[in-house]
Amino acid sequence: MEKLTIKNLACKRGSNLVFEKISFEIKSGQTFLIKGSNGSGKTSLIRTIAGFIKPHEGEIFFDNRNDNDHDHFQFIGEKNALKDNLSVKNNIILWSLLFNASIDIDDFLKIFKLNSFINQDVATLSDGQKKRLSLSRLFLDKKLVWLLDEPYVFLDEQNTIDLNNKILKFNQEGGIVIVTSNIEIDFPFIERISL
Amino acid sequence: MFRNLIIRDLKIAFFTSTNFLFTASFFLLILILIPFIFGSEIGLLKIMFKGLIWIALVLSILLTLSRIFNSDYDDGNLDIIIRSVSSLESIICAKYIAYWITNCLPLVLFVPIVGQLFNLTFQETVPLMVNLGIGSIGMVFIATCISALTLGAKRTTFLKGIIIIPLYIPFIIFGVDTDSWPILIGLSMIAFVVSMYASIYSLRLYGE
Repeated sequence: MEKLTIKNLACKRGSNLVFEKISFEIKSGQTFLIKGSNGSGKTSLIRTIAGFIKPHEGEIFFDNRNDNDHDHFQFIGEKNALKDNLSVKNNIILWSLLFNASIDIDDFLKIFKLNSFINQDVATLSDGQKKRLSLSRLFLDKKLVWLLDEPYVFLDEQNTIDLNNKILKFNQEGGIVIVTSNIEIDFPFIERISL
Repeated sequence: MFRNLIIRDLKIAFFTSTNFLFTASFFLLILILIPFIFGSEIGLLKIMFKGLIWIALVLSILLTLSRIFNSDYDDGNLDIIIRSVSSLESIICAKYIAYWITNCLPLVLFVPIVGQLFNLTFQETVPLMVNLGIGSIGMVFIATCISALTLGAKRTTFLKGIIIIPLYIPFIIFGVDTDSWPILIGLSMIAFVVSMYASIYSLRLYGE
């Protein structure tokens, strides 16, 4: 059973200490919530776990190893990683090259019910549709850990339920999920920290 | 993944209006403007053409500089790129190659065609193509490094121009002299070393 352990993590941005002494452990099949107001350091914490920011102090272990191997992590950030001037289809083609994944674009878009927008320019999509398209990246590559930074932003009630169902299914398959949010979410998170 | 990153950048250029034809058209239009300003005296135009192709190259690079790293940074794709490609060196080399193919190679290939408009024979344009080809590689190294160093900084179009133009002066000085291609190779090699070091440093700081 895989386990993600965060020990005494601290992060500094310039001379500003964003957070310190953050410790928690998540086991396979669990979802963890990082909650906090704007500017509290949620994004810094999840980006540190994802390996984009070097921790000022502390360690991150996955499967009892801290070898900085982030291959098991799938990170979906606040930015959608979409080229606004390209169509949905072309954006997926670009992603599939980066993920080295061979996919059926129609089937891929069905995951978040976006198949009717396949030839539409991303610039013409709503923020919620862009968010769903961005979240569909989770299914381009099979990873053991999902790191989701503010995934509920712009999602309506039905799509929030859809996302939660997908997280629960991933948990049932043994996946670990870390979610950041500044709003209360109706989801059986195993544990939570507030920043 | 290195190959995929090059193909991805080429596809972006192909999917958008920023494709190869666009660069070549831009080059042609700049050169077409010149006889309107300086008259149509053939001897003068021939001399000016050698310098003008470099000005067109510099302008083309300045206008497209943000495509190297900045656009991927702004839309969040850089996160995926850094995660998917095993080393920062590979990312930077892929960017060099893709950017050179999309922005410089069309200009190099276009020189003999545009040269006809300036009454240059094919034999006369070959040394220009060689110099432009070698020099543009060094100029791409510098452009990539500046793009990486200004990652995340907003409204830096003019700042990039101010930094980059003085660094291109040696390339232009030796570029217009048709026998100076060995010096251009040397300059490009120096640019490669500096660019690789600075770009890696910048990408390492990316998350910070």
